[in-house]
Amino acid sequence: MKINKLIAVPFLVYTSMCLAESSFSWHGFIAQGVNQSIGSDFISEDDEISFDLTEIGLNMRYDINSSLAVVGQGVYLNGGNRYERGARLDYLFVDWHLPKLGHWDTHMHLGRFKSPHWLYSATRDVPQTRSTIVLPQSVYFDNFRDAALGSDGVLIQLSRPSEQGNLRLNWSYGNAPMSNYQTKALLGEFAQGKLEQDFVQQVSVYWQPPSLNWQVGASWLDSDFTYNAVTDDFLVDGGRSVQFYTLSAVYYSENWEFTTEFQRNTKQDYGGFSPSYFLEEHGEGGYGQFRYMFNNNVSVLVGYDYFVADRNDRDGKKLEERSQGVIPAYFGYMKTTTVGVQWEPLPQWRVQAEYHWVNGAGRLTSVPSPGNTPFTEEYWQMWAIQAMYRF
Amino acid sequence: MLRFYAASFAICVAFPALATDVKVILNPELTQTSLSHTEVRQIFSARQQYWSDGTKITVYVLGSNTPTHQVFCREILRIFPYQLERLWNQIIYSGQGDRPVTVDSEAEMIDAVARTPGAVGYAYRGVIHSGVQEVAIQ
Repeated sequence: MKINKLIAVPFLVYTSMCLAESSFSWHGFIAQGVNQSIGSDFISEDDEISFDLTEIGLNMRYDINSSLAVVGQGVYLNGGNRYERGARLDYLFVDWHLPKLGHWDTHMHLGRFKSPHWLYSATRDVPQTRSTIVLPQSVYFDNFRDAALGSDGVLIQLSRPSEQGNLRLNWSYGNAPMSNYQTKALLGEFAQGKLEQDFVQQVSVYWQPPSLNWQVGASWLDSDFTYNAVTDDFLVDGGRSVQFYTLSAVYYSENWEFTTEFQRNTKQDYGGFSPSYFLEEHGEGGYGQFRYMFNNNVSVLVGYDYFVADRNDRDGKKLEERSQGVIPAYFGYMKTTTVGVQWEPLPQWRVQAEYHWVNGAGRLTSVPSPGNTPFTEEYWQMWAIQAMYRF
Repeated sequence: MLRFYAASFAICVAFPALATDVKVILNPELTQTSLSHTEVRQIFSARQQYWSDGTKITVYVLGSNTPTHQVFCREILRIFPYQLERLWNQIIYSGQGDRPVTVDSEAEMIDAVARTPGAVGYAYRGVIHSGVQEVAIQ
């Protein structure tokens, strides 16, 4: 990923203040697994059993003083076809702990900050914090992992812990660099130009009662993208405008927990395929996960995730008609049933395994794009086993 | 949740000393004599990392499977031990703080808190000695 000026500024602050009273800490993780998608190119091709399930990360925090720190993480990822393989800088920002505003604790993150807006968005990059190896795609679309994980810009976090409950408010503004991989993943292999995210603005709020045994949250996202075509491009200039809303709830019991997150989105595409092309879709999705903990080391999970690209085309037939049969109707939705198991033999180790039964292909790629229909049957399956170590 | 309250009640009735005798301990150089429940939760969940005078807080805990840690989570923090792990993960992996230092025994915990400026931990009242100070929770 390209590091822009917003990243460079925190680094200058960091280097100029290195000599002040400070502390340094670092952590990391290594995870390796084996996985397979059967009847789909989602993970691997030709039903191949693949070891493309590698995640290595190193993160650090440098406390310059009690109110200023520099925080960063670099990772190497290989998730098969799920996202771009290779190394990237996930985040690097200055964490400024602002003076208290009454009872409000306030942090400002400046640089490539990490999104806190969805339930798993701040921890989706760390294998041991995820409920499943492959997260519910209705909200955590792997194709868009890097852009959803963080942005270059500013994040303000306000929290108000009290005996009456905990309230958290987050606001962020920035943009994420789009790689060639992401451009082609969203627009098709034939796209020659450059996709840019003009801006992304997000707001979220979370509340926990004094018992902390449950949590509710809501978030809102607004973002614009621009596609700049080049000479001899199959596409023309275009863009996309997206609004994405979520509602979430988690309940923690002694031996079980239930997590749910629901999203609705509006998407307007213009240009791209032709100067007059315009498409507006109103999609939705969500998941529910139930985890039962047998003891401190072993738990099982069952979950259901669904996604529809357009609420006015739940069976995808309009999508198939619009593409004159090129894109099958089942690319308009995706419904996944998941079972999984987690085992923590030692405090820093975890082994996780899961199986997914999938109907549809709505989250394989960003349809509609006639040049972007990877092989997938209407009904397909995938499984994964991964061993993880954190330090 | 009902099971949690029932279990807590049973512990209080059957073992009154056990249910109330895990205490939060501080390094003796700290001037705090009491902490609110909210402050204790903020500190042990890694959300508060500095004392009001700017001293860095070093949090010591016992392993998640130890009875003392389980009682501490349930009786003092009033959350399940796995919830505390989740709170740590959110903070650590978003780069906002450090995981508490895990020690192997209460004796090691008390020694570490006694030696480390700004340190906080917990232990059963019976093993606490004068090298650390016990703090009241309001």
